[in-house]
Amino acid sequence: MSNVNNVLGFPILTIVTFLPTVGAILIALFLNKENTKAIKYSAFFIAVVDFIISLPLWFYYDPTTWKMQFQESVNWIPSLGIRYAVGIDGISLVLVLLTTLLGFIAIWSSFEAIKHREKEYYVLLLLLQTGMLGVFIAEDFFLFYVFWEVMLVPMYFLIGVWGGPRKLYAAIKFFLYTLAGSVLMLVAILALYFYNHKVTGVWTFDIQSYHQLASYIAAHTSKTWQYLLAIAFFLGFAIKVPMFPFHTWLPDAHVEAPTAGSVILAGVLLKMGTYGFLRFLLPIFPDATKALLPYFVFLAIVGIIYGALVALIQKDMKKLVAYSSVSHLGMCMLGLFALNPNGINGSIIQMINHGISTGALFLIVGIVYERKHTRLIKEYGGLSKIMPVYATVFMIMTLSSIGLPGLNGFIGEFTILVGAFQAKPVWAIIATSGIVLGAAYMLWLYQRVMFNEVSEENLELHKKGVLKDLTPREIAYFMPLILLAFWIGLYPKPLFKALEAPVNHLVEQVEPGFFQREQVKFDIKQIKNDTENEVEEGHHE
Amino acid sequence: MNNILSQIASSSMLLLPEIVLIIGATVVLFGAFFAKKQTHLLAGLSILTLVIAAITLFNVPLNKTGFFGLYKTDGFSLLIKVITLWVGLLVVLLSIDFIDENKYSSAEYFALILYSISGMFLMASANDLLTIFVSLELMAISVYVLVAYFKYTSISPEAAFKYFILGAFSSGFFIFGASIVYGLTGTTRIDLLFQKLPLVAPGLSLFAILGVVFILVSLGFKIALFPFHQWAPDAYTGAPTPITAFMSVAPKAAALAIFVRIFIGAFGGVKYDWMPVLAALSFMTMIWGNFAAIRQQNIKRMLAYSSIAHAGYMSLGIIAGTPIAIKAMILYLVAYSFMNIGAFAIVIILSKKDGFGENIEDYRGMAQVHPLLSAIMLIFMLSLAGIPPTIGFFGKFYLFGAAINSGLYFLVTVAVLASAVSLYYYFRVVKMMYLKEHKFTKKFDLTLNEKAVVFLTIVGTLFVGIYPTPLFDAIKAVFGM
Repeated sequence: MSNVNNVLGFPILTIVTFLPTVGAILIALFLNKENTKAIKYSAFFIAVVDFIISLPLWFYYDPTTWKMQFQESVNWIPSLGIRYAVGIDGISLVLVLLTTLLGFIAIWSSFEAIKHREKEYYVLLLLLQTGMLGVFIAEDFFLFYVFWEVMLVPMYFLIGVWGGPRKLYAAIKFFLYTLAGSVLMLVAILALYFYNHKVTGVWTFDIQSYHQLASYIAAHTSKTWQYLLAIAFFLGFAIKVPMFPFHTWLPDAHVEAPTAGSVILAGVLLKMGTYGFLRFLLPIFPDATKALLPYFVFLAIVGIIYGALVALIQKDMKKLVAYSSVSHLGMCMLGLFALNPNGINGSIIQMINHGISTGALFLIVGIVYERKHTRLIKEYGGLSKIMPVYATVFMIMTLSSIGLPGLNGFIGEFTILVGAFQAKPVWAIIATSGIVLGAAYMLWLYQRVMFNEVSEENLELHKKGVLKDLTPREIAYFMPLILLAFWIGLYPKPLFKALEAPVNHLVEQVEPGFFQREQVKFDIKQIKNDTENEVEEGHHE
Repeated sequence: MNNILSQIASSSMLLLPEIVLIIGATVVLFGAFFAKKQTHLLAGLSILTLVIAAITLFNVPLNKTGFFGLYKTDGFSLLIKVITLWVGLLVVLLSIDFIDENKYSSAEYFALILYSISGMFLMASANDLLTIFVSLELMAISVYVLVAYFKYTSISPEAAFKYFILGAFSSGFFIFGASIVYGLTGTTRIDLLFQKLPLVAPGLSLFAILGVVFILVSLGFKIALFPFHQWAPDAYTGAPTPITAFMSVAPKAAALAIFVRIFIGAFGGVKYDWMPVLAALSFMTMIWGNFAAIRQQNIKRMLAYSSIAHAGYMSLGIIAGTPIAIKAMILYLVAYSFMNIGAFAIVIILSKKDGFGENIEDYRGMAQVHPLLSAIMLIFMLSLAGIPPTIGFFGKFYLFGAAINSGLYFLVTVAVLASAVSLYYYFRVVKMMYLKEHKFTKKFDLTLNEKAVVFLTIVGTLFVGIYPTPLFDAIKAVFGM
């Protein structure tokens, strides 16, 4: 019944996914809630072990094929064709690694910030990690949906218990928005399930079989049916991403969530939406996507500009970073909708970059908030004089976020723009203004927080040791993020290589014959050049 | 004559579970003479009766008709009976301490529960409009009395009175509708109606429509469909809490059974005449139930509106009308019996002594003092809202899937969005328990039987939620498809 199919010979994906849950259960059962130290360190230990176990995925991953790897499959509800089936390709791989990385950083960053109900907090963070990982590895629609929804519950509590002043409102708003989108997706999944049975006679939720059904759906069903299903999927994912105008839950959730919650929200949860587009909407409804593309792209571009403009006027640092997410995710969506290898590659890399740099920026905001309990920009100023290490980290991450060459953001944004330009130059031209605005709000933020004179109050606080520079623990948890930012910025080749096969396959699914056409274009150019040369040569003679 | 006698004698074998229930109920009732407050003894007798009824139930041959076609045992009726027995068992267990702490006699209380279950058994198997009516009344009258059981309070008799008046009206509607249908076709048998009704007039005469609509209104009242739901919040709030729990599942299951019998069985031939009406009712029920629940402060009232909403979801199964949809509806009933009785069990445990715990506000800060019980309540709330991995999610998933399979895209979209709304009010309880900082001071203890109920319902909710295959296959096997 059970079927493990990978080079490592053990169910690595299941272990990576469920280790946090096992850890959470053990902590819940065996650790006293007074013993906060043990709770913190065991949660951290579990998350680090989880990260380490997930690393072999990167080294044993075979980048030459788009096919799912490290697959496992067990019957779950056989009479409905539901399986526990997991597997990853390059796209899932990078997101899984991002999740395990941010997972332990989030726990690490919470040691000082969380001062009450610690046990529940760490248990929930670990459960959340299982939910997120499950979404990226599921190969069965039912399983995917279960993880997709399960994950909302711990996040609700993280915002609702440890959040800011408007936490109750933000928590339920987050839950309801996402749920409303995902139940619509459930309707679409069920419709596909029965349609698949009608066509193939097989009851299955296997995602790959739906991929194979795509061309049949395009040819044999009504446009309305396709559009409605595509829109249902679109809403489910667009709310999660979030795309304009479904983004209103995001500023609330991000601002009210505790720092680690924001890191996970921005770093991983939003990527579940973009991942959904990549894995489901594009390959299953290529025709409907292409038909609705102008609207989707319009929303993506509005998101880029709108997010950036709203970020520009924020007085609260965290809100600023939250709106910058709307803008950056708009960029990711633009890359996806370019529907060519450059755009999609760039989009995935930008997802990772956003996880790194925005995750880090939330940590950065969290650090001053922990010290002074305010996030208002005007309360700070001149911090570079009293917190030099902090200023350096902040600078690196600011530059990474605005896409300075040599850092990760540049690679992502540049590739997206190349892809968008190939698809429609106008898109790229408008989107570029978003990058300019991005530089504006980030650098202006940096200027206001870091430069100018230090206020008397802050100097006083610094002397008291309240507004102190980064502690070794804080430096330590920034290190992996900084290293990754430089690595992707300077040597992104391994990342591109891991993504190449699955992304090319995806493009082939959405735009059948894309590569042949490109090849033909290339050949024609070549022939033109050759003939021109010949003509020239002829002239010479 | 001999023939008739032998028919009755052989049919009586099919009635064995009902006979057991009625004998048991009567024995418990006689307890009122010498053991009014021997609650544990009387509850034990009731449980024994339920267990014997269960044993006989599983030994009754399936797919037989008796009493000249008035009574029918099939997989469908068996499943409905199992659900009502199961709910009855849980409710008896939950009632022991609740009734023991009050000054009311225990004997009639348990006897009435058993009588109403025997009524539900008959409803599940009744194959004739008159049999249905009689068994419906047996069930309904027992429940009216149970709602009024706390006769020295003001709220309980008031609730029962409202329920009774409207219930009597709806019975009148039923019998009036049935008589019209009989007048047109000359039969009250379900299977014969199925054949004859389409022949009465192509596209149905006005009278036939009137008859069908009257019966629809009556049954709409029984399962509390909008706009016939108004009795439910009052009756649910006023009734003793274990009875509220009972009413929210068992009579609903039996009423859905006759709904299926009459509308799929008898009126199945004229499906397209009543379907739009029921679809409209179901649409409004899902919207109204869920939105009205948002504003409730009393948890029993909130669960009452939620049960209206759940009836709306379940009516999708009847609208779809396919065997898969009926099976899905039964599965949903099973799911609902676990999660809703579970949620009520927590309310009962909390509020049995002094009524503290009937308001949602009362749950403030409970998670800090009673983490386990709060976590269990959280899971019931998640399950009611249909969040995986719980039985409620699987129930919704399968029910909505079956409805989609019948092309009910619009209604299912409404249903899923309405259930997203439902999360808001279920999570008001969660918000109180977990997110509000407050010193929770109420002390309470769980007796063994309460522990058993909580254990059974939570294990069912989670186990089936994670691994539904055994339950699913069992229902499939009994249902015969």
